[in-house]
This record gives sequence, structure tokens and C-alpha cells, in this order.
Amino acid sequence: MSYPCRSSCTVFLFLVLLTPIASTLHAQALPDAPGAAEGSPIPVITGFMSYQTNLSPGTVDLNPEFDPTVLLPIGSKLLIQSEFDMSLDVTHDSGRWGPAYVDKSIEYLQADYFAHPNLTLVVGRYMIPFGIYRERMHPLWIRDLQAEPISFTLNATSGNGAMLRGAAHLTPSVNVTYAGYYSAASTLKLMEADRQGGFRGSVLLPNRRIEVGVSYNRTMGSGAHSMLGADFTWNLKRIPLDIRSETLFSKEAGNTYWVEGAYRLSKLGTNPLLRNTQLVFRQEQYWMPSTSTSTSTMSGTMGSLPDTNTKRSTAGMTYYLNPNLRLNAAYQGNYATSENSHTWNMGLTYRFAIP
Amino acid sequence: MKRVFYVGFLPLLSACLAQAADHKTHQAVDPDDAYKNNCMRCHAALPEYSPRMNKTIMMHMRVAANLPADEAQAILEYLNGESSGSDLKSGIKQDKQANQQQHQ
Repeated sequence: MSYPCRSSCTVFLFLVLLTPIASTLHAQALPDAPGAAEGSPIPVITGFMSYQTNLSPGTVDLNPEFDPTVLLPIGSKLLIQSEFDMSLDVTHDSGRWGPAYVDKSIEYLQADYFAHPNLTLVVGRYMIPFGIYRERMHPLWIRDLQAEPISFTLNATSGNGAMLRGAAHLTPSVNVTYAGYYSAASTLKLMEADRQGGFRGSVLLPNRRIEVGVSYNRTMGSGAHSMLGADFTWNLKRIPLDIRSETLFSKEAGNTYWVEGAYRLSKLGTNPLLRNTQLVFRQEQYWMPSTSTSTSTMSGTMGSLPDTNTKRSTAGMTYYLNPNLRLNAAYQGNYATSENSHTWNMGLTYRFAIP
Repeated sequence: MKRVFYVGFLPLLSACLAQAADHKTHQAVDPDDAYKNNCMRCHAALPEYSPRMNKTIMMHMRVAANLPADEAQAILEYLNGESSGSDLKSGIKQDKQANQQQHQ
């Protein structure tokens, strides 16, 4: 079983090693000159490092994470990109440090071909485009709260196959986006995937900065299930407030929603402390499936869901030390039918991009 | 599954491709609007990179954020401070600095 893992790691390491070589060749082929901005795109390694600490009564969790992303353009029509995710989970419980678990996976390893101004063909391993959280908010650097919503347990998956996606202007003030995909089942280590298919479509009102999306996913095989989702994003113009929300309905997995508001204090004054601070609040709820199907029998790539109806409230703040470094802190209350719990989170995230 | 696919995805794809056939007649996208209306949906602050790095990053974002080619190009112009007029170019740079200060 170790051979597939080695193959996946080798491919990612090959891309990492190829990037500086390709970058050098690009630089030699296109020396800096007037109009260098017109030059071709160059390979880039980007990503983030994060260190998060979670405190709950009697328990301490330490979670360092490293997520490098390789972007390797081939001309202006083809991009090969990959993100590797590696995190460590160490828990201090009952007076002693528990075993440390290293979790690693390839989030995506895909080739993107820009076939048309409104159509991109994606082949390889890609993130499932269900809702907004997986594709847009999954990097710790981007999300406003480090704790993931409950719905992320259901759609934090990647697929191995092909996807068609793109966007177009329906009218000057209305855009539509679409993504349709099919994934084959895979048990390769780091590249696990379910056999599944689905789509996401959205309507975007750019001038109002409002997007409304609908997603559907059907996972086949032994833990077969369907999910229907809707998402909403509104970046208000007059006040620096972002509102995001997702709902997910599944007969087999349960129903859930989350609503999040993030308010930047930039309008409250010119003090750097205010200007660089953001306050966030998220409310979410999960209802168990009404059928007798146990979520534990569902596909292996899915994480664990709460085993009872749950409400969760999270309040936090983010402070940007500079555009690449930020501090975060949050408090989360988990209100379940059988047991309530409270967690404090603190952390630091650093984003990098080379060359 | 098939019914949902046919009802939901295919009409959307058809509408996009039908519209795409007429994309040449579409108005030019304003770089400033393209940046504010798309990037700020998820990013609070964007650091400055070299123009060629920006090209690569925009190829990545065109896929990740599902951007049409003209909007991706307009955002690239905004990030690189490129434009046909030098006044507009310096204006975009000043605006970009103000945006970054405001959203840091």
C-alpha cells in the first residue's frame, strides 16, 4: 500500500523541484526589458504556514499546518497546479500528551486548460465545487474563522476525474458561473476519492457584490448519498461587512446551515489597531438525518458528524500584522442535545509566495 | 441524478456558451470594478507581486473563483497597474494602495 503514496508524493515533489528550474528557464528566455510586464507567466510556489491552539476544559490541542501550493503555467492556456496539505494534531488530555497524528493529503493536483474565455477544462485531482467553503474558504489564510463549519465535514472532499467550469456575463450587471464534474473512486493513499458527480451554478451581481449559488452532489458506491446545497455571499459596499451563508440538505447525512458576518473596523478610525482588525461571528446548526441510515456507514473520505442535533456559535477576531501575517482568536460554544462544550482558539498564520 | 443534471447544469452551460458566442460585443470590464467586485469577495488584503507572478496567480484565480477571461484580464491590469492612459495607471495605483490600507 505504500507504493501509491510514494507515487503521489513523488509527483508533488517533482512539481516543487521543477518550479525553480522552470522559473530560471523562463527568466533566461525572457530577460527583463521594457514591457517585461508583457512577459509570460512564471512558476510560483505559494501557500501558508499556520499554528493554532485550541483550549477546552481539561484539553489542549496544538495544530501546526503547512500547505504549499505549486503553480506551473505552460504558456498562457495551460496551468498545472497542486496543493499539498500537512498538519499535525497533538492533544494534551487527562494530564498527559497524547499521540501526535500527522494528517497529509493532496488537496488538488490538476491541469487546467483554458479552452474558451468562458470555459475551462480541469483534469486530475480537484476540490469538489460544492458550496463556497471548500473551494474558496478552505485555506486557513483566507477564512475569517479558523474553526470549520459542521457542513465542511460533508463536503471537504476532492475528486479524481474531470470537470468543466467557467463563467459568463448574462447581462452587463449579471454573471453566471457553472462547474460540472465526475470523479472516479480511488483508494490511493493521499489521493482517496469517492465515485461521485455533481454541479454548482451561481448567479453573481457584480455591482451589488451579491452571489447566490446552488450545488448538487451524488456520491455513489457503498455509502451512497445525495446532497443539495445553497450558498449566499454579500460584500456590502457602504460598510465593510461580509456576509456569507451555506445550507446543505441530505436525506442520508442530515441538514445543516451556517451564517457568518465579518466586520472590518477600518471605518471606525485611522488607528492602525482598528484599521487592521476584523470581528467575526458565525451561527450554525445541524439536524441529524431522520432516516435510520447511520452516517458512520457513509463514505470513507467523509469526516465525522455530530452524533446529535447541534447548535454552534463562534465569535472571533483577526488582526493583520501585515498583508502576509495575521493573528486570530475565537470562542466557540457547542450546544448539543446531550452535552455542551466550549472551546477557545488562538493562532498565527503566515502566507508566502516565491519567487 | 440525471434529471437534476439535465434540469440544472445543462441549461446553465448552454446559456453561458450561447452568451459566449456574443462576448465580443460585451462592454470592456473596468479593472477597478473587476478587482473590487471579485477579489474582495474572499480576500481582505492582497500583497503586491511582480507582473509575471500576477499573471500566474490570475490563471490560478480564474479557475478557483470561476472568472470569465475578460474579468481575469481586467483584474490583472489592475494588479499590474497597467492601462492605456498614464493618468488612469497612476490613479489605479493610488486606489490600490488605499484599498489595501483600508482592508488590512
